[in-house]
Amino acid sequence: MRLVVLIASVWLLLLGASPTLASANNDIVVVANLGGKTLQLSKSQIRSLFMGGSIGYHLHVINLPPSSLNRVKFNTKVIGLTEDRIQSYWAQMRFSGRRTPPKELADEKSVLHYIINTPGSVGYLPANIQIPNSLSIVYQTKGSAPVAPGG
Amino acid sequence: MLTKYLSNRIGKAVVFYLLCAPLYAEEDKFADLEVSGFARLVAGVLDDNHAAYEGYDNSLSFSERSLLGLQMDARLSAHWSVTGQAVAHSSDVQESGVEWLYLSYHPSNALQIKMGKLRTPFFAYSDVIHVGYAYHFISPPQQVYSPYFFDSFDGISANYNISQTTFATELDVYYGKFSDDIHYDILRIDTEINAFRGIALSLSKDNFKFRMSAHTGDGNLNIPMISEVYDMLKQTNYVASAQSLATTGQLNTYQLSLNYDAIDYFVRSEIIRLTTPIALYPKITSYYLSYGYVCYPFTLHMTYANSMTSKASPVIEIPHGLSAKTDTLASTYLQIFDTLTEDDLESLSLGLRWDFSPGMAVKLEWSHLRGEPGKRSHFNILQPTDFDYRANLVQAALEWVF
Repeated sequence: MRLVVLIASVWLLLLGASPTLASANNDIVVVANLGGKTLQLSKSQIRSLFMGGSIGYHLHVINLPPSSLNRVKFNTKVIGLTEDRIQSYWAQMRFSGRRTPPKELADEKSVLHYIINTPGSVGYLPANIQIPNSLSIVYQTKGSAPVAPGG
Repeated sequence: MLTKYLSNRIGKAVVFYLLCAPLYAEEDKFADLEVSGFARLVAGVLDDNHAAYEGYDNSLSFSERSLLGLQMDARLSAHWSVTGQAVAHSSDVQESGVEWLYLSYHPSNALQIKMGKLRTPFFAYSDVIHVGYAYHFISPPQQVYSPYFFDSFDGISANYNISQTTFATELDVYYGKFSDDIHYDILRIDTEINAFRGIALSLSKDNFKFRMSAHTGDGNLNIPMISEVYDMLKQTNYVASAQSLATTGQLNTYQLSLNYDAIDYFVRSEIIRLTTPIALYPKITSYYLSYGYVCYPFTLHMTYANSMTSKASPVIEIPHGLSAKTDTLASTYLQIFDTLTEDDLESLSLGLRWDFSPGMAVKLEWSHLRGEPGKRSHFNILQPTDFDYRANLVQAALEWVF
């Protein structure tokens, strides 16, 4: 699995230089349960939020595991760091007593289920996943065309 | 040898862990209790038998930087938590034991207030200096991360962070007291720093992160031999000479760092300055510049570091030949200044890090060290006449966080 993540990372780096190829399936949407409210966040705020910072809203972050391809995409497109450097960052934050890494759930389905059922939660999902009306898209990577809301 | 060190030094950490373990076993019951840790096994050798550097000489050693750390975070309520961290060092120079023990109040995501035994946030990596996994070097440049800057203090600190649309700000302020030995090679200086306080401001925008900090405190060094000479000079009315040996005074440290992080490379730079009227402390200006190239899961780095130090000069006040007693006093006074050291050192390091598994990394590092002849230059010089102040340090490390 680690090899798949490695190959995906290399491809994402290559694709990053080619916007036409990069869009479609590689895009990510950041989804929050805001109780029907809308909110638009900048890339900088999303990055800060997922790196344990405060953006002035009561949101708590849900992450995918390091083996997830969508986590690799999110790291590459939004955080702008490879997984090893993110792990180093969290070691620095944890052992300096500043911040702790976000809770991780096993897969995208679990993340979506958790966000639907947990007010104030926020997580990222692939852009081609169906997002329920009750959730808000607070950020999407360029080229994202989220699937029309379902139930 | 390694086994002996580890068995001795790790003892305290094991006790700490055993105290935590029953709580850890109840993790399911108390989901807000976490035990985590870090460990590093570092081997190093210096290619010169005329000197030692950071404890390394020309025989392979595992004991200078290897360590084990355990941390316990216990959430008491929605806003309060307790954190403890114990570190067992394999080195004789570093003291093993509890590095942290503090109560934390977290009223919001943006604000955190800590009280107790805290890490000293002098520089960018000061508060995680023992966590090798957190940085790309095996040893952060000694010129900046020198043992003059102690690891922890007792007091209170506040951290505030907020991210706006385009940039993020983080502010740390603290106040407290330090009272312990400062270890420097074979020297142990009994030091007390009262009203120890500081401020650190970090600003991040896009891929840039800038940090500036200032730290100050009223230092008091307890060195009986110096105090004795100081008293004698004062009694004999050589006031200027006595003042030059003062062991009290303000210690001021300033720091600036600028980092840039792209997905496939990064740049780290940091400059620091220490000033104090205390003669026994050198005035230090040090910096490093580090470039890293990331080819996940490998990272290559090249780091250049330099330090410029200056030591105090003696006051020429005591006349020669006045009496045998005065001559002895003058000679003792001058000898004290002769023992003061200067640590001018240039270094160039090349390193490779391989993150072979989440939480684990292997590192290799080669450092070329160029000291200044006649100065100590961070070396422990064993054969002064034969040492050319050039040496290579090779290190390998296994880093682990869990």
